[in-house]
Amino acid sequence: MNNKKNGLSLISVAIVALCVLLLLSMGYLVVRLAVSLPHTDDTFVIKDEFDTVEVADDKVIWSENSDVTIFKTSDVTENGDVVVESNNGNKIIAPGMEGNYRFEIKNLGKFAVDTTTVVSAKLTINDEVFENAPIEVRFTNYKGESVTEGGWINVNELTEFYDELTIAKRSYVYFNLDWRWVYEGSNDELDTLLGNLSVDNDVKFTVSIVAAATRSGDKNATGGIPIGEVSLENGLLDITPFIVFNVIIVLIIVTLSIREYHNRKKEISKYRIVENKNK
Amino acid sequence: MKKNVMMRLSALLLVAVLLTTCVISGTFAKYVTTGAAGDEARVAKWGVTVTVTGDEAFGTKYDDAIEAEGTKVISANGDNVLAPGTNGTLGSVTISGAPEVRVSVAVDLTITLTGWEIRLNDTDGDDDIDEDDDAEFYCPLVISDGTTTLNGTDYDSAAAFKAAIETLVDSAAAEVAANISLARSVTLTWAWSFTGNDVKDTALGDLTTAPTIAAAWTASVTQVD
Repeated sequence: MNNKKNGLSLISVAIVALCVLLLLSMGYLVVRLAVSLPHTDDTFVIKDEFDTVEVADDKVIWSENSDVTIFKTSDVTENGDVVVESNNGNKIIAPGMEGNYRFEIKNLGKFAVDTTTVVSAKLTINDEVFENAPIEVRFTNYKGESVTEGGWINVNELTEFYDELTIAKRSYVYFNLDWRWVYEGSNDELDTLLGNLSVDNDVKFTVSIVAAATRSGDKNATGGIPIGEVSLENGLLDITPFIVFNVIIVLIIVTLSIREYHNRKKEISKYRIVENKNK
Repeated sequence: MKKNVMMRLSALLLVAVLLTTCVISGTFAKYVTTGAAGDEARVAKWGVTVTVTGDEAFGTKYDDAIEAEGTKVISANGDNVLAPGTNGTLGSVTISGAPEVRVSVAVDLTITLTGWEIRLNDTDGDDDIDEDDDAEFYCPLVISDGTTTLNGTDYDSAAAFKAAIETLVDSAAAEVAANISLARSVTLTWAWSFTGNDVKDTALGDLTTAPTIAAAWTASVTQVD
């Protein structure tokens, strides 16, 4: 007797459906990650539960090459009198002006990270570095340590300086970059020379900061200031539920596939026995 | 044996799922974060010019005096001289520019008048006019900035005439806001009329020590902190 069933078995249908569901889940995960990750060809930001490092000031979360506000277009006294003002909206710098820029590196992940922060500052005239800039800078970390040894230094002494810090999991560090162009006690002739050159030339002061973080060799290394509450910002995707869900689906598929295989094998055996009997 | 199409299809789907899992795992494999930021500012424009003249306010000779063409005045010893009928420019200050910073502008003129005193009357009654008699201030120079004219004969002391001349130029340090044009200019001229008081002019010329006048100009534009 031929007891072979025609058409799909219920288990086969279930296996196919689960495989499709798993594929869709994986596809959705890939698309969401691709959309939420700001990255370039050679760097990208980690946005998962294992490693999440963010560099930001109070207004901007840094990406590949962010424009931040270190300088301004005017300067006023405590009384509100405008003493410096750009005539075209460009940010400007003049004797007597000073400023501060604070930024943080946050480690929201579960592993400690090692960071390197590099600051470069230079005065250029028509894109050529001017070796006698009358501007001073100071770079300090969250511990109050001055990376620029001795505090204020002239940018001519050190056009690039850096600091290396380890940040524990769920912790952050911050840096302060101070700059100033001294009004009293500086070289008036040099200051005036630069101001006159600026009339017909491109005389500008540029500050660049690069912060890089890599997973530390010791995931429990200490350093930084603990963050009170962990939050994944920017709608980041927590993939843990997805991973658990997909593993379960795979296990179900495997179980059903094994059962289906045995059922088919029994049918074939029955068929052969029936055939032999008929013979 | 009938081919189990469904089993093969299920196996194929499972392989696809496993491959996808490997791809996703690959995106989590590298852990590097880099952020970069920067800003720039151009140096505020200055571009202020201050020009002061006054080194040639007087001369050692005058080829053509006012009101008496052809009359020549020539110093006997190379000193700068003044005489009836001579004239010149006492000096000038010119400022220009529109800096992007607030500034303080100051212009100053210092005049020194020495020996402009004559004695024409026997005030002590000794029938003689000498140093014991009272002197009177007499300066026949006319100073002008093109708008206001000051005649030295209208003043009874050197200090008063000096103060009046300096007031034409001196300006208390005035603050000017950023990006405002500083364009301003002041020029002072002097003249000694040929047809003035001949007796008093002659008395000046007869003095043992000749009267003198000196003018010192300064001008500055300074950024305000």
